[in-house]
Order: sequence, then C-alpha cells, then structure tokens
Amino acid sequence: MLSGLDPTRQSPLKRTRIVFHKEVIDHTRDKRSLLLALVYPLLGPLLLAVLMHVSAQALDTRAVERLAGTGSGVALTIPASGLYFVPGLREYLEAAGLRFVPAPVDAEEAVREARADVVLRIGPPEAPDGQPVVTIIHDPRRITSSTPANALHNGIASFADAQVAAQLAEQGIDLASLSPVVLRSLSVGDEASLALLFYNMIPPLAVFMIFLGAVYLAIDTTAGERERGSLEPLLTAPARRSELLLGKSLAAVLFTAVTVAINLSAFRSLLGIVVWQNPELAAPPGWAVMVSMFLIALPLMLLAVSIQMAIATCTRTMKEAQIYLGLLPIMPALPAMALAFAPISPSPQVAVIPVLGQLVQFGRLISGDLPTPLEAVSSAIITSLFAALVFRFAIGSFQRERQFFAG
Amino acid sequence: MIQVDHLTKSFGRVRAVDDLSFVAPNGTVTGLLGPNGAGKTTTFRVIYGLLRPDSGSASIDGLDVVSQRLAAQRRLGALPDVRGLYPRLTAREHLRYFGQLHGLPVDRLEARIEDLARQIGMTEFLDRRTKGFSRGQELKVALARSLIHEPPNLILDEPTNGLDVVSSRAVRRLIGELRDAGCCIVLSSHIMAEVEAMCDRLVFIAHGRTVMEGTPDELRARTGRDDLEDMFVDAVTEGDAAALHRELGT
Repeated sequence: MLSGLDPTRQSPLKRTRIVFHKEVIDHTRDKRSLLLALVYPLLGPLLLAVLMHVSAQALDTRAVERLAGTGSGVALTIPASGLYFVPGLREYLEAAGLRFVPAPVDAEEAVREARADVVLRIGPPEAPDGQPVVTIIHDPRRITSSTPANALHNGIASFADAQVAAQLAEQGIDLASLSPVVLRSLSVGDEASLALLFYNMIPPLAVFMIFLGAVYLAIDTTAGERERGSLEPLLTAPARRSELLLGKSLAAVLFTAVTVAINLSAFRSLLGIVVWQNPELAAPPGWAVMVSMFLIALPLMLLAVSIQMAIATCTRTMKEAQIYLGLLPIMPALPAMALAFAPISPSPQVAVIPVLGQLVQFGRLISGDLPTPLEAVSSAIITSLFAALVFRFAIGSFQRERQFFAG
Repeated sequence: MIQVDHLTKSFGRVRAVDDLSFVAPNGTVTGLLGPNGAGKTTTFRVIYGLLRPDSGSASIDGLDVVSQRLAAQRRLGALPDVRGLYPRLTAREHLRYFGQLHGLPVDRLEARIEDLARQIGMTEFLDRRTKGFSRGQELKVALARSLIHEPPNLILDEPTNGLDVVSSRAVRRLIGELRDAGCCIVLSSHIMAEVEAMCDRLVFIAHGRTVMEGTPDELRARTGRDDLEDMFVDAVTEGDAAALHRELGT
C-alpha cells in the first residue's frame, strides 16, 4: 500500500502538460475535431480561389482591352444575325478580335436561359431613309453576359464614331473639334484591382477560422466532459482546476494554431494557382505576409480560446454550448467583413482594440504595408491581457459547484 | 482514515447533508447506506474535494479536504457512481493519465498498470479504446483508475453495479485484500447481501443525517433484528419520521 506520494514533487506546469498531452491525443482521434482543424480551413481559401478564377475568366479583360485598342487580347465569339445590313461592321469588329457565329432563332430566350451570353441582332432600317437597328441582347444578372455586351457596345460605338469621323473629314471637319469636352477616364488601378478585392477577404475569413478552429475541443473538454461524467473522476485527481483548464486550453490553442496555419497556407497556395492561371491578376500576398499574419494572430488565438472556454464552462449542456459557440466566429468576422469593403484609417486607439487592432494590421499587410512596431506590440499586449482576463473568468466558472449539476 | 465531522451541505433550500458525522477507520470496510437522495453522493463529493461544505469538515488521514485538498486527494482513490470514461482513450491510457496526475514515475506507473490489469482481469481489453465497453468493463477500468496510485483510502460508490457474478466476486475479493492490507474503504451499495458480506461497519443515513452506526453485530443487538434489510428499512423509516418532526418543529 502506497502511503501517499509527495504532493510537492509534481509541479503545476507538469500537471498542465499531462492534461494538455491527454487532450491532444484524445482529439487527434476525434473526427469532428480533425474536421474543424484540418478540413474547414481549406474551404474559405477554396471558395475564394474559385470565385476569383471565375471572375477573372468572366471579366476577360484582355478581350475588352483589345476592343479599346490596347492589349494583345483573345477572341470573343458572338452569335449574330443581320451583320450584312451594316457594311464594314463585321470586318471592323473581327479586326478588333471578335468572331461571329449564327445567332439562335429564339435569341431573347437563349440569353434568358443562359444558352448564349449575348446575341447581336441587326435589323433593316425602320424607315426608308433610316439606319439599320442594332440590338445587343444581354442579361444584366450575369457577369458573363454583361462583359461581352459592354465590349460589343464599345466596339460598335467605336465603329460608328470612325464612320462619322471619316465622313466629316471628307468635308474638312475634325470630329474631335465638335465635342464640347475632351473626355478621359484614368484608372489608378489596373487588372490587379480585381484580385485585391478578393485578397481583402482573407482577414475576415482567417478571423472566422481563429474563432472556429478549436470550438469542438473547447466544448468536448468542458461541457462534454461534464455530460459524459468524466469530469467528476478527473476532479478527484490532485490537480488545481486552473491547471486542468489551462492544459485543456493549451490543447485548444494548438488546434487553433494548426487551423490558422493551414488556412493561411491554403490562401497563399490556392490564390497563387489562380494567379498563375490568370497572369494579368496581381500576385497574392507572399509567404512572408502569411507568416506575419500568423504571428499577429497568436494573441487573438489566446483570446478566442479563452472566450470559448468561458462560454463552454458557463453553459449547462453540450447543445447549449454548441449554440453559443457556433455563433462566436461570426461576431469578429462581421466587423472584419465590413473592414474589407470599407477600410478605416488606423489610429493608435483602434490599434489596441482586440480583434480590430489585428484586423487593421492584417489589412496593412495585405495591401503591402507593414504595421508599425508600436502598433504590433501594443496590440499583442492588450489582446493577451484581455485574453488572460477572460481566462480568469473561465477558471472561476470552472471552479463553481454547478459544474456537477449542469445538464 | 476518513473522518466526517458535523458536515452540512445545502443546495438552495434543499439540505442534502445535515450535521452528518462518522469515522471510517483503517483496515475496515465501512458501508454508507441510505435510500436514494439520503445524501451519500453529496457526502462523497465533499470527501473527494469537489464540493465545499457549508459547515463541519471532512478529512482524510487528518488532512482537511478543503484547506489541504491536493494532499488529501493524493491519499484517496475514488470510484464515483458515474464511471466517466473517455471513449477515444484505451484502458491503459486512462490508467496512465490518472497515474501521471498522481505523480507516479513512469517506470513504476507502467508496472503498476500491468499489475492492476492482471489483478482486476482487464488484460484482454487493456489496449482497446473504451468506446463500446460493457458496463462491467467500464467499471473495471474505473476501479483500476481509482487504485492506480495505491491509495490508503478508498471511496467506492456501487462498486459491483453492472458486474456479472464472477466479476462481482473478484471485486469483493479485491476489496477484502485491500482491507487486509490496511486500507480504509468506504462504500455504498443497494445490495444488502453484498453489504453484509463485505462491510465491517455500517452507517445508515437518511435525510442527510446519521440514523444508526456500528458493526453489524452491534446493530443486530441494538435493533433486535437479524436481517440487515429489515434493519435498513427500520432505520430509514425512523429517519423519515425524525425528519418530519424536525420539519414540523415538534
């Protein structure tokens, strides 16, 4: 019979490590935890990559440029009828990179049902001395329809201008001199703008994963353990509640870190593939940016896990915990989404607000800037302190006697 | 030795344990008996160090379960009524986890796991994950978990519940061996034949209070009853009446 082991022999750190180790082993065998940590983080990047690729293909900026007289371009194929009513139009547009095929008989129906993206229909003049009627049939609900329709519209307008200019020139009049203004459009962006729109979506999706990665682990190790009845034997072991909860929380932080690492790596890899296939798009944020984002996200991971543990230890059942913690990732992702479309100017006050501070820094990194050291350090410290405060609350909740009567 | 001294614990307006006192000496098996809701589980949870008493105290080998909780817990093995296993861990991993938490050195822990597995009859499923275990297998793992650190004091809540006849007999034999080795054992059970066969001392509780305490022979002499079950029913009925009187203030 053992007469009791020396209670001072084992350090609190060692007990925390024992719990951490057990939870990691336990949850690497759990399909739900693995699904959240390893598969879910791929979905956002995959979705973004597919959307970016489809948009790049649909916009087909090279063909539009060709019609505007710039770029090397590729051909757009347009179903058309009645081209012979306008002499010279077909040749003009073909020289600009368009190809024509016969239009379907039911042109409107074909465009409405997406059997054709756009149809060019040219009819005879409506009056004896009138002009042929040119109709571009398109569906504004589809970007794959609007883009060639715009290209076609610009091409035909350009043809008409050239015809008028030629006739006026015969009479010695310069068409440009008749215009009351000189109209120019200067875009400060380029084709990269499309890609940047998508790159701005990386921070909200990454923040969503930070708050989602270890949700199941947090629920299972607290409310789940209580429901399963394994909490009571565990608490008979000679360990402080704070050590037990810290061990569980560190396992959750590890799962979150793995989730975020996979998420950011997938963003870089998949968006890189899209840009490789669509070279006119701006390059995605590099690996250095992703590593920086991961480091900036570390205090946020601590906060996310602290909040998850605080909620999970307060709830009475696993179901209740799932409801609240299912909503949790949306909370920080919403302002992140808003910032993606309406960036705020970073100020020292904003930089120290947990979540918001990290989002501002993510935004800077995505747009090619660097957060200032003061910004990065102060944000990390404040967020970590806030995480510690929330974790202290979670420990208090874990120590309450209601832990045994929940459910 | 486990000592409970004027222990009181309430949950809201419900008084689960009401001035309960008893002593469970070393080298004896003490049966804590009472009907459902008598306060057995609450008493055990206070002794485990899970609940804080409102008043009174509990101690294990003289160590207060509140102020010296960790030291007291190291000297206690607990088998709660809910076995509470981790379905994705093997039986061996359960024992290793709790052995480590109790501070057993690795080499001693592994040897202890093998010994216990043989002793309790769980070598066949020692390396299987516990998901899908029968109730008997679950109980064996939970029992081994409570014994992993060779505690000098044991609390066993329904230790043979769910076991077949052969396994029940093996557990009873094990409890006897532990008692003979000087261990203090407190158990609860609703099976009176088992209580009679295993317990050296009995504590009957009702409405959170001790209504009768002593060795089986002492209780037989005091009540004039031979049958333990009759004694139990009488004691509980008296407890009910006393509780009613207290409630009415008569």
